Amino acid sequence: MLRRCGMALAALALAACGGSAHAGPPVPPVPVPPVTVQLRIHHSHFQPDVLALPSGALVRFVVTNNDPIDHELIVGDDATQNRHEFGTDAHHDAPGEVSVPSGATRTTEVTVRTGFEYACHLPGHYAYGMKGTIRLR
Amino acid sequence: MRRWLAATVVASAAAVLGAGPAAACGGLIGPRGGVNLVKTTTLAGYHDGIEHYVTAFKFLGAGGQFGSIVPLPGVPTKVERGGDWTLQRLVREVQPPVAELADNAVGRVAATSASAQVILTAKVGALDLTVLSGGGTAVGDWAREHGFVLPPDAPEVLDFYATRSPIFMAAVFDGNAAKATGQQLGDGTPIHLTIPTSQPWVPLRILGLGRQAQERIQADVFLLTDRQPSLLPLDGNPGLSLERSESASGSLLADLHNDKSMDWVPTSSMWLSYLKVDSPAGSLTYDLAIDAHGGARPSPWAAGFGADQVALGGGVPGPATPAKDRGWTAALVVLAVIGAGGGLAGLAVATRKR
Repeated sequence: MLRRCGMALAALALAACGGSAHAGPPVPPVPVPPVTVQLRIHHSHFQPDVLALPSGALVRFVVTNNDPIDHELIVGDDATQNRHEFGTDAHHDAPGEVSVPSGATRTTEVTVRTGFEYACHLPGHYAYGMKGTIRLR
Repeated sequence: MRRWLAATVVASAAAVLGAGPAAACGGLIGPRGGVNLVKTTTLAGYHDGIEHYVTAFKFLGAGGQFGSIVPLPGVPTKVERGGDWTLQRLVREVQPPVAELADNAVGRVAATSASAQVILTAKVGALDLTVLSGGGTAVGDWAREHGFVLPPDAPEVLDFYATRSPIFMAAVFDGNAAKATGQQLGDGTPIHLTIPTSQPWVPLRILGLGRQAQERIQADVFLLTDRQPSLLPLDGNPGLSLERSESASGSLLADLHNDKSMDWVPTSSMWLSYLKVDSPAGSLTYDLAIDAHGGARPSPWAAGFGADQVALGGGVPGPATPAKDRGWTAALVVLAVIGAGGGLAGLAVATRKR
């Protein structure tokens, strides 16, 4: 019984210290700048079509459309991709989703997670191969 | 809900078009697109250094606009209304007796970043034709700015053609105007382009524009030349076969010669070639190069091959084989009914949702 009480007190003490070596007001976390990725669209394909990114990182996608047709960039998991492939969304204002008109450069930021890919879901574009793989490291 | 002012896409080749199961006039675009595919037939004739394209755009009854983009081997000197029966007559020349086919026919019709420059415009019936010069991107930009909705393979295909010839023809068919002028369902609008060139070729790859890679492209291509031509791709290409290669009959030449604007056709001493395209769209990555000068050296460049993809010397597609397949018979019937073959493609201006 005494042994159990001792362990509980020790745990409380650690919690009170917050794991810090110094006492005092909490220090706000320093923002971590996003990882920037440059994507190019050419002949209805993304270049590159495979990205290696840190797991859980905030990633800023800068995508340039060199085609004479419009495209979009959708970064997300299967559910997100399916929603855009079969859904009716007209506007892309969520993180990781952006329309990219012909000749334009657009940016979007999203935190990448397991199972994410990037793609364009304008009619026929995904089936044509307009998609890319994200590998987390 | 995404609304698409969907224009039109299309592709058309100066080649004759296809028939067969996929020949059905439909479906370049997916569900809910209200797409009406314009089916056309094309003759590529070459005489005295002039290439003549005769193709037709078929009115399918829908309102709105339909469009087509056709790559050309050179700058046309004239764009005019084509003859009334040339395409139908060619089809009849290579098909079995009409009586045998009549029943089958029933119900079957169902590169640079600079701006493109407009070289000439013409209006033929309800068709507005614009001949453009520019790289693939420039022509694509022009098309987009003029209401065309191009499929995802369009940028690559336009570049493919622009590297050889920066000349394209955009055709917009105004269904409402056709209705207003009393054009009936099924009526075709033939057009005839006169194109001086020393190196004729017939665009085939464009037939697959907007199609899924596994979709079969079936097309009929008619050639009329001063002498027996040498053609490329070479023997053994599984997607292209030479079905007829013979001296054109006097009756055929006389019939063609007497058609409107077809007096360029000599009444004798012409060679008729009839080829069939039957290929998955993803494999149809070439065009048909023609050496009509007797040199037996069709240009790999004109066929769209890279230097590493073809053996020099040229050749002729596989020998003609008797038509055993009723599927082809049906295909020809479709052409006969439609009066066409040919290039094609097109999408309707429609509202699309995603």
